Amino acid sequence: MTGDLRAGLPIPADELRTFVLARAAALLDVPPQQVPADRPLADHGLDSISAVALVAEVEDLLHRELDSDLLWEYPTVDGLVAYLAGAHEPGTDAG
Amino acid sequence: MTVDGESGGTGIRELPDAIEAVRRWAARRPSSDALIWVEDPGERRDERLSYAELDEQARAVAVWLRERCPVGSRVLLLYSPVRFIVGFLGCLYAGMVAVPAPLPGRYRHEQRRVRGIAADAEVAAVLTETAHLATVREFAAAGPLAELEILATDGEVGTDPGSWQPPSVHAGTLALLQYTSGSTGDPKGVMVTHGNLLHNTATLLETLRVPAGLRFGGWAPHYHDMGLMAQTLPALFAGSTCVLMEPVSFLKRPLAWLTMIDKYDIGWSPAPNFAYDYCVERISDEQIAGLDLSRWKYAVNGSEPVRVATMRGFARRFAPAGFSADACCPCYGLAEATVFVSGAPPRPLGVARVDAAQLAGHRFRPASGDAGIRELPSNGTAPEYDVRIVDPATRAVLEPGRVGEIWLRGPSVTSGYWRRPEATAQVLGAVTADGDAGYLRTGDLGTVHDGELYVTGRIKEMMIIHGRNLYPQDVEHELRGRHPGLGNVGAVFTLAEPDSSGDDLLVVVHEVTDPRDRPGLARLAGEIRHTVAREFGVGACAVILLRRGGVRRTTSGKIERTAMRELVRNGELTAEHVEVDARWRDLVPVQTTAARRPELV
Repeated sequence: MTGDLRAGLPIPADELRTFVLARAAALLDVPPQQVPADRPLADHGLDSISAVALVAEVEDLLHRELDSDLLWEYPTVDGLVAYLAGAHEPGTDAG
Repeated sequence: MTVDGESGGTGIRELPDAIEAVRRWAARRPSSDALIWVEDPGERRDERLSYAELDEQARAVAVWLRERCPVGSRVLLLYSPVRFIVGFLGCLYAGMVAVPAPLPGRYRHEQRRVRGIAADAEVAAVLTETAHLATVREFAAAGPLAELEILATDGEVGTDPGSWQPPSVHAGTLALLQYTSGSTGDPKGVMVTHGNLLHNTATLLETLRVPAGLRFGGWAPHYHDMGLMAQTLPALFAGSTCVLMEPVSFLKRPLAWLTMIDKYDIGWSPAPNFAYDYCVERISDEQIAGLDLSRWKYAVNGSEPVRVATMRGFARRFAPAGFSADACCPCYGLAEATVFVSGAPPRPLGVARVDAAQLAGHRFRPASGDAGIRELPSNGTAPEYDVRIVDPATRAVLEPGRVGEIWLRGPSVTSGYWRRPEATAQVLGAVTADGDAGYLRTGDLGTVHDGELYVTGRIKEMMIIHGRNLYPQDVEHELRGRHPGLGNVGAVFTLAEPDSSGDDLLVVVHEVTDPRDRPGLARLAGEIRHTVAREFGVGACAVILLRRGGVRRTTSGKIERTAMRELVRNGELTAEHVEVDARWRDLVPVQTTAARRPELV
């Protein structure tokens, strides 16, 4: 799976970041500006079901299959986007 | 396939054991699909197992087990939901006791729970599947399971299924230990016999008048009583087909569940209440337009409190897909009664409009006006049980119109918890004040109105969030262990969302060692929410930090969670620090010593 993951993103990273922030905000039912990108989403009340839902939305956007536990490995928006952009090997950065 | 007028439950109660309930179909319809494991319902990507194949594989596993363990041994089953049933039947075919558990996942809480179950049941072997063999080996090596043999039942079993000999079992033989009760530190396995399985399955199929040949299916996990005994076993005992998908596939894309129901012609699919809300929130009009749900006759709603608004909202939203409101099927059940207690055949949703103020005083009175009303769904009838509504304190049987603890008696009621005589005595064999004996105390509050069962709440402290059972002791224990800034005393409980009948917003109240460290308190509150989310997978809607002595305890030191909950709800608590989700601010009217208003996050 690593080769696939390092193939990069079909969209610019900042677009992905905006998307993830917007979707996380929708799942948390707060305005996007209230979702900090550098702190674990779980600290703001994102439960495990919403975490799986968020991964599924990212899957749909990027057209690639992701581990449903991805937010466990990369709990912040910034960490998740960096991972998806291929900046990290899987599992080397917990975000 | 459907035979008019014939119930799928016909004759099941009279069978000698659960092995025969499945084997008879391997003889009568060997090439029929017993199970379909769906990977992608839209593309119809699936794997199938016929009754003959299922029977042969179960015999091979049984021979393997018998070569290693004595009859009656407990066997731990660590599977993905779709592969589980081969291992489960293998245990039964071997005359052994199946112990289903979730795959030890990433939550330490879950891993501890599986270890606790394995230790309590004193398991003699572990069954799993190839895809998870490495993870299960790693998990087992690190704990008390290190000495046990592990078999991946979908790999090379290496035994001759032809050499299988039926074990000597009867209705009273233990078939499985169902670990849905008890906290992580104190897991309790409900002892379910072959007779319980047969009687309960027959009761479910007959009470709900399920036609023979109706297909079952869904994503409810096998280690949960609903997934095993209200989804898979009724299908197999009735000679029908069970169509399964992974729970995580549903969580990722709820549409996949409904697509599977449509494409695979599923007539019965159960889920907890939250799943129906989740579908309404997450599935678009365009997606609904592509669905045909007209053949879904039993949208069973169970395992957490059923909300009238949820069922109505779901029926309205999916009506354009042909979903019939009559298919909404609230059921009541619990593991201590195998699983199924009460329900009704397809019909318009039964709803009682009762006076909320009277209900708070434990009286069930139809409401007159429009204000102060609570709508409660009927859970149908419980024809195979003696039902009593009892005052939990005095054990007096209450007159009609009163709300009390639901007590049950009947052949589906289990004999208690594995090697827990004290816990068993507390829950089973209860005697009413007038000397009527042999009842199960459910811990649920409710009443019988016009012959139908209504559940109004719980008297136990167990919290049910998204269909999962959580114990406050587990959360409190984890928080104390992880956050040295916390004092020794905390209380975790749930509050009800407005307009709901379930309590599913988790609140943490905890004492702190240093209330003067203001920035430290804010940081601690954030860390607490992080721990709750990471270890238990649920969000804490509020964290309330108190000075020492702030959490009420009884003279014997028992934490008074109910009292703390009332203090929070009534705004009678002053805290050192409060962090509360903005949307639930009104529910948690707690003042702080530092500021007039709680800090919003």
